[in-house]
Amino acid sequence: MFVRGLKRKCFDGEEDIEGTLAGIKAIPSYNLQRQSLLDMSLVKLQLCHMLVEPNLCRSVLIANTVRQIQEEMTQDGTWQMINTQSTGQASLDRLISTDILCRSSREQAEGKHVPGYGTFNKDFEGDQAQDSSETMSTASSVQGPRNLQSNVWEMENPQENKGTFQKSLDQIFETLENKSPNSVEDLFSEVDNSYYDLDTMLTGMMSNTKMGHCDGLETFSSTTTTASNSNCKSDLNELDHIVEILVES
Amino acid sequence: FPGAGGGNDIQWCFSQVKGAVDDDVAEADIISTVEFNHSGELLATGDKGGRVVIFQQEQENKTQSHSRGEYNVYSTFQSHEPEFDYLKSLEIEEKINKIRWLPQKNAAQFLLSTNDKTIKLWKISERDKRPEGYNLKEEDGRYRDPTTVTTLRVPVFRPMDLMVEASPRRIFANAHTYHINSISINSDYETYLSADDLRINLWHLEITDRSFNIVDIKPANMEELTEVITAAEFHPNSCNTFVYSSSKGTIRLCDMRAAALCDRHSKLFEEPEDPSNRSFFSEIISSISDVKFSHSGRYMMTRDYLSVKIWDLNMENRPVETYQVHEYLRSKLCSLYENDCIFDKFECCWNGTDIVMTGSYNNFFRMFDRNTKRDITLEASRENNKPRTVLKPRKVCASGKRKKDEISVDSLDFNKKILHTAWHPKENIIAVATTNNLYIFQDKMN
Repeated sequence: MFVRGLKRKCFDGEEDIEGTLAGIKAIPSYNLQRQSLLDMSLVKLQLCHMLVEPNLCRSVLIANTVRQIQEEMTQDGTWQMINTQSTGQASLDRLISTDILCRSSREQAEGKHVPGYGTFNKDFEGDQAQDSSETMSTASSVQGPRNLQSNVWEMENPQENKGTFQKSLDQIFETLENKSPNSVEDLFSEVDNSYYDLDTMLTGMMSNTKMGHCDGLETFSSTTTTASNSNCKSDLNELDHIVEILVES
Repeated sequence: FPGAGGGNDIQWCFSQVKGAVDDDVAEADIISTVEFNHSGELLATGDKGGRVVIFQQEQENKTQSHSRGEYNVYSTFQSHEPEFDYLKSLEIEEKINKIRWLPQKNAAQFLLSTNDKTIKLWKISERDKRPEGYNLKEEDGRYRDPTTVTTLRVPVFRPMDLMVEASPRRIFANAHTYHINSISINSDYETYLSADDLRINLWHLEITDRSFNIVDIKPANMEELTEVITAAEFHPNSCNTFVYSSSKGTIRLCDMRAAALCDRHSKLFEEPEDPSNRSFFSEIISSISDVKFSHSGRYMMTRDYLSVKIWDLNMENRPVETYQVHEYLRSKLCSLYENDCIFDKFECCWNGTDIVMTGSYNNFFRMFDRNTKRDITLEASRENNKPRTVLKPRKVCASGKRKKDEISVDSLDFNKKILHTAWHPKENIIAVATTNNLYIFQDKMN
């Protein structure tokens, strides 16, 4: 029997749920786990975008996992629920991340040109913030006015979002083909500061940046092995090296 | 094989360990491939820094009849250098992904080594004599004034300290858009294949400016990509047959006589999924990381994340045997996905027909005897480094009360992984690579 007053994270009031109290407790936890797996996978894919040379096999496997989760969530209706929900920064961040994937791959497909050297400073706050904002604004002006097809804050049609997400997932591999540091720039230009924090957390560079609401993601970044952290760091070192080459030439 | 199939279990003893002792591992020293040559006299390793180190087995010492010859460094050379792809702004790693030896035809040895993009044929030759007594040159190479030459002599070869030289004889480049994961030499010893994530190319060893594309699974629309090639190998006896494995756990056997482009397989090996074990990680753990034919070519072995499977080439719908490598990890898949360990690519190897070996975590490696159905877990560690001491079998406690000498799953070190192992083609000698050390174990000789 459905117990009144019991909060269920991802379900609407009308959803019928059978089973005992134990069943009710079990379902949110499964959804939570599944959601956290989805978040984790999206983060991994985003990191793929940021790495210099993504491992195609790994990317394909992660993307397939995301598709599986998405399919299951579509089937049991939770996918729509998430999109219409407006509670919490966490869901918004999720939306941001998927939309960013859409945006980056869309722009990748359109082949916009962005000066390469502008991309590398964006990860660092503090003394490099000035540089990055300069280069980002330079980049934006070179690109001209952007024509964002959907405002990330307006979630009118969950169906459309689903479609966009699917499309963005499909376009990930196109971006892998056209891999260039430009996509990193595309990911992070024109975002507000709160997203900046998400970015630095993703790269694992700033350990003191706290995102209280994104517990799942935070856990991910803190338990990331040194290997992947050093990957980020070594990649950024490589990027520095590349910057030197480009600046010299 | 002594001890194999005869009911006598092999007793493995530590023999040697090569590599730095420090815990601080230099990235360039990470071993990325290990391979014995066809006689077993030479053992090659490749590392992340693009170097190849070849060890040679000493000739057996008659006085020390209780141990086989030791392996000592024979040659070291830089096979691949880091490169930069200016068009894509990407660095091309110099890490050696695979080494394959050619059978010996003359005094020199030949091997193929590959990184992500370029395959190279190396000639390793010995020089232990040098000519002396030139008429027109001094011993140090300076030219003599011809007017000072009053007599003529015939130059002779005199012994010198052994020098081993490695020289690149062929460079097979610009044929792979994606990362090369396998190379395999054909039984005709004239051609070989190289496989990347989406394509397989056929080369002639003498010809570097072209290759034939024999498999192409790249979809017209990259958005539709859901499967990649993970490994490929030629059949040991049929020079027209090869197999390739995929990230979805399938193996395709192709016959090059059927068509120029082998996109249609002759056989498809796939085991139906076990519905009771289904999870979001099912596909990832089914991805095959290695495929190896048995010496006879009748069977092939595949390695996926949790198991080793033996397939009979005549039966496509399921493997004939399945061995669990570390089933206790099944309940930890989410954590292993989080820390990326679930994407580790373990290799596997045969001792011929009867015993298969593969690596695991915590510097453990496993062997499965197909005849006795017994298996053993051993550890590659400097703690057991007394030669001729038999290695103690290890055991992982999956759940419940941990017995003495067992190690619990949560204590396993997932940074200590054994991805590469090799078995001597003729003897019970194995080479096991930890992150940056190479261990050599032998069976106990009485």
